Amino acid sequence: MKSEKKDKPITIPMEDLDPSFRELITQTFGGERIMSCFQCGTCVGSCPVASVYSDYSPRQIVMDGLLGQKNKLLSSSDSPIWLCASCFACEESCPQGVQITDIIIALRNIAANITGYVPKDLIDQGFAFIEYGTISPLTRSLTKRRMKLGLSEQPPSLPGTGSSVEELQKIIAKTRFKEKLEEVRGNPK
Amino acid sequence: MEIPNKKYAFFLGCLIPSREPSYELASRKVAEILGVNLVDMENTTCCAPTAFLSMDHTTSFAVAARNICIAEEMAGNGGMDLVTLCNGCYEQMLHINNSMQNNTQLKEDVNEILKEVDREFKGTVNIRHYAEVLYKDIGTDKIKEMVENPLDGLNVAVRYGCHLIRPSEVTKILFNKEKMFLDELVESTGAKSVEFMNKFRCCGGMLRGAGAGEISDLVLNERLRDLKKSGANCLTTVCPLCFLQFDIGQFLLVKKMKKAQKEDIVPVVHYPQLLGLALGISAEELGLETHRTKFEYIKR
Repeated sequence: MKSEKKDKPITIPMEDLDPSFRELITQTFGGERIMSCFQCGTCVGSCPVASVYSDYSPRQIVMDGLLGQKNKLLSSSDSPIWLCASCFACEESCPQGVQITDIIIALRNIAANITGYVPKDLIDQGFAFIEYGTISPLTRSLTKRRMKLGLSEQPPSLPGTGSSVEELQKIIAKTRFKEKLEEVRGNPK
Repeated sequence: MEIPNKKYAFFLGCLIPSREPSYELASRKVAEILGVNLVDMENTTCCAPTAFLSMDHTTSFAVAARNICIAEEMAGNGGMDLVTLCNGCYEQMLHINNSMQNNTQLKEDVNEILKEVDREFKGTVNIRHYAEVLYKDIGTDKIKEMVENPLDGLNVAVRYGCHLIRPSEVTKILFNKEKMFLDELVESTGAKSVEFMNKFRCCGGMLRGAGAGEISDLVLNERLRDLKKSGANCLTTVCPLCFLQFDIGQFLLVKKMKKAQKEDIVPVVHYPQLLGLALGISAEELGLETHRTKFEYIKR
């Protein structure tokens, strides 16, 4: 994929940086070990996304977290945190146990919490999930295919059957998940 | 190794029963022959993995834990181990199960939410993947005994998928050799598991539903390049995303990319279908015709 990188060194204005951001990350589930990173770059070598798209770098994401690049990571629709394939290769290869994939997921949580940028596809999946209890509801043709194979029309364990949706909606009422989705959806970015 | 009459709470997840029913079909038929007693769970929901974990840890934990509670409540006496076919469901629930078993505060916080639905997570069951149940609880020796139609001459590229094996802190898999349990399971059918580059590397499947389709294509293309050099007649998967990525994705790439050729398309099968053929079940009964790529075993 075409790289947007420029050859000149980049200057980051101090006003862009929030020095308390790294603490916020360490206090978020999964982000506890961010400060162990010594920027060796082993993660980039193992990353399947970095291999095909050179602008993407897990090392850079961690660096941006440590520096406090809040806007870049949380509010920009170009934020790299949404390009992670969550394959855990970086986490596995990291010599410091930084838990990079978990940090990226933590950053995503923070983005959703502060009504930053969340990709539309994910928000849509969230709403579908709340309504059906599954990310892949059975359509008529899919049901026909099941029956043609001799499977039951709807297995008891197919998500979204029985009392499952009712219970799901009670849980998300308590966690206010729907409100969170509505807030990020309403975000004009 | 085998625990006589052991029952397992069978969790299908979202994708497999709706979009990949042949995986469910084959796994049920193989389980019946091998004596793995799968009991369908009821009233489950999506396990709320990556996309939901990304938007809200708390909701994701509570939803996944609720599913685990259902397994805990089955058959009394501390419940049944939960078995799933889906790598995503496996890693998600394994991680959450472990985290909650080991962190009292986390368990309390999640149980506070589960009170809304009169459930309580107790931490009494294990989360298993179908493939590792076959390996640990049945064993390749027993499988070999039961093979009626050995898949001689078949070269199989074996994909584990990311979440069956990583992060190793959660899955407890030791990457100390090139061939591990799934390769042994494949070879117990008489087929050969071929070596190939980047065997454990991500196929880009997760990127597909998340608005990063172009990157998903590029990552898949790299995996196909690795596959081409392997000499494999077919690819076998246990992850539903790997399956879709290769079963449908190869055709997409032929359309989109000059270098991808139709002749190079490698047929994809779910592991239980491969095992099913070896155990004497017909291709029809295993739902092979529902795939986009067409696999046919011809004895050499």
